[in-house]
Amino acid sequence: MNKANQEMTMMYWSLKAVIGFVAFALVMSASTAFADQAYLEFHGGSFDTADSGYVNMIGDEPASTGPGVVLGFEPAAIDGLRLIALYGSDHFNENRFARELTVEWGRQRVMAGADYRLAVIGDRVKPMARLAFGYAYQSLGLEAESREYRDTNHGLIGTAAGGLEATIFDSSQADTGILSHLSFGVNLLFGYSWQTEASFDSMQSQDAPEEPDDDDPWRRADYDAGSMHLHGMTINFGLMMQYQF
Amino acid sequence: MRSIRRILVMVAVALIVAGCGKEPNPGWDEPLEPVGPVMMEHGMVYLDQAFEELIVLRPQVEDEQAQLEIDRVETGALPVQMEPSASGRSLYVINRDEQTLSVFDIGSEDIERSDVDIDGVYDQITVDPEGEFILLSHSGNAPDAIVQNVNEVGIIDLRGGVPQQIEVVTLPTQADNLKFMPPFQLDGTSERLVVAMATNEVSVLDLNATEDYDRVRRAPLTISQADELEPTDVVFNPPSSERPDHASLFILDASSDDVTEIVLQPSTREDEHRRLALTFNQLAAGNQPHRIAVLELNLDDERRTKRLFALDGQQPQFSLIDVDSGESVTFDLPMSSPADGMEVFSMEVPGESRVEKRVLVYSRDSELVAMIRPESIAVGSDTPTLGRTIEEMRLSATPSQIIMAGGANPDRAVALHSGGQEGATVLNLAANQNWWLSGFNPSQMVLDGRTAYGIFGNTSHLVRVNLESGQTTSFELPDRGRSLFLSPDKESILVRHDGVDGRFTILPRATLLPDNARLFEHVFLHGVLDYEAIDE
Repeated sequence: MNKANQEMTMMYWSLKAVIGFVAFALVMSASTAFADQAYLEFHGGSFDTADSGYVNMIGDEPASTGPGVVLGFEPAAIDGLRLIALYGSDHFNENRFARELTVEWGRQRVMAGADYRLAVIGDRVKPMARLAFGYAYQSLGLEAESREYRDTNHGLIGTAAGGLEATIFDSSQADTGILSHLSFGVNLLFGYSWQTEASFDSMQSQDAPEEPDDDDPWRRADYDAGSMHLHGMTINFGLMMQYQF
Repeated sequence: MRSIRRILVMVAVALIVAGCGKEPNPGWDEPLEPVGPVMMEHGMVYLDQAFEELIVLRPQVEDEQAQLEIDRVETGALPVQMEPSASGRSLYVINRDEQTLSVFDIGSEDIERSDVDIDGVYDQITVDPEGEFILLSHSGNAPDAIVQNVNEVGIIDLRGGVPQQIEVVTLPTQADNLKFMPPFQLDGTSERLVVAMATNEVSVLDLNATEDYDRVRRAPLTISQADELEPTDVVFNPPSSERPDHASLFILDASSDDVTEIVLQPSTREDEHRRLALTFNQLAAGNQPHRIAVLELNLDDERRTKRLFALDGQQPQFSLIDVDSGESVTFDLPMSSPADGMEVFSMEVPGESRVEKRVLVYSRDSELVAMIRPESIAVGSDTPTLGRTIEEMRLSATPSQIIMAGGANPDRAVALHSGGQEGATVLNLAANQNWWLSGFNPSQMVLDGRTAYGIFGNTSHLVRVNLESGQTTSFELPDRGRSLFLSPDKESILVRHDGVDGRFTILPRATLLPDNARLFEHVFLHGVLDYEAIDE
């Protein structure tokens, strides 16, 4: 199976799922009262896990997350609720064994879920909870002396996070024009994510041709690198924009 | 605002606590350099000291395709030394930080491990060829030992299975050169002896002794304080059927013309409480001999006789000594410099039905190789067998090493050349012929009876030589070979290539072609994500 094609296919279908979800939310809103809001967020942060494989490969340094994008819809009917679709990516590079081995790990996440905010401390700053669940695609590359082995993994991922959302510029502050519909703000979330076991037990040589040919008749055996359980803490800082219909 | 601050503080504390989890294993920052390999009966073993694990490689051929099973097995803390047992089934590893010795059963599917408390910082293992004992000693080079008794020897008795503890004995000298003598019967009693060599003396460790004063016997080689004798080798002379109460040890010293004989007999004097009596004898053995061997020969009158064969270290000569009478005979060798290497082997005499002992002798500085027939030499009043005593063979280049084929072909050998000389030579000792294999410089060779394999220093090829016909075939490899091994089951050839991650090509011996072979990379990183991180 061609791994690159598989990757493209999964991304394609995931994107379609997200667009479908957002379209569905918009259609739902058309039939309800006004003051629904659309939501856009860009965020970055870090992901830290205690899994041995990760710790050995990367060390006790968290992987960097981002940039991530969140598309959301806040129905006016339920105050504080926001339905979201989320795309995020985590990655790291590391050298091991006195620079003899280079490790490259990446994870792409496409998730759907919900945020909930409660106006307990006033309207500007609200505590926020986020719950999301979806699909994670990982790839791991190990390279020694310009020879690379690579494998990918598909899994399910879930995350729960809590924090604060602060509105900096409220749409009610402007009377007319586009700014009367827009709000801007920031959020800071601390959370935890769980993921199904990621096994990289058939890493394949990237230097060998698909089938042995006259130039390179040697077959490389698959390399079993083991598996990781990437549960861990997340921190995300986001920039938000809301558009009120 | 106070509640927000409180929330943030709680979260910060939670993160700090969560961060105190695992630390990466420090082995991750050091270069990958597993120690080994040790070839065993069922696999090849490397030791990854940084991660405290053995890497066991078991090459197989299934459906004519090369396969490799890789297992990582935990050792104890800080493994410093490993040695295979004589049978090749078990592997012994000293775990320095835990002060234990682990015995791994490499033959079993699950690689079982048992530990023995050794309670000391030993770093040397001497293995009994009979598999009955393991001796532990100190090399004297341990960097961080605070107190060390370099004369002590730990004895592990395996005769009742793997024991829980060891026995410790102190020798009168540093125990850094221990050699097991083969088991023998002295006047009906079973004996197991170990000899330790030191300046001006040897110590005899009696493993079957029951009394403390019998355990270690001291045997000084000289009483003069001016002498400084450094024994280099001990050769055992077992009791014969004519004299079952008499065994001896021949001690070779590099700077002396004599070989010291220590005769072991059961003690017969009433006032002597020790069980073994040691008496000393000096035998003149040529001109500063540096290699000796005890030969059991069949002379022409069907008697079995023992002779001591001594190779001179200063002149191209050898001597044959009758150990009972002390008489000796010295012969010149047809080379211009003293011989460095010798191989004792037995061979069928061409045209006759008997097997004769031969000694092959060579020098790194001479193209002439000599084959000696010791049974043709008369010492004293013997009647020797007829024929030439020394046969010469001229090679095309000086040999750095001669490897006997052994097994089914005891009369074939391969001579390797070095120092920029190309090629290797196949010797047919029965016909006194040799074939020069030119055009390459094999950096390593592996022999298995009828066939020899070699890899090249400069190109990525493998060569197979049929030792009977001399036919040579070369095969391609994916990369230049660094070292060459015959698999433990003898069905495949392993070539290790350069590459810190461990790269091996495995080729089934039946075909040696890429269609059936496979290249295994990242062998030393098998299951790397499952390695243990260290708890903080």
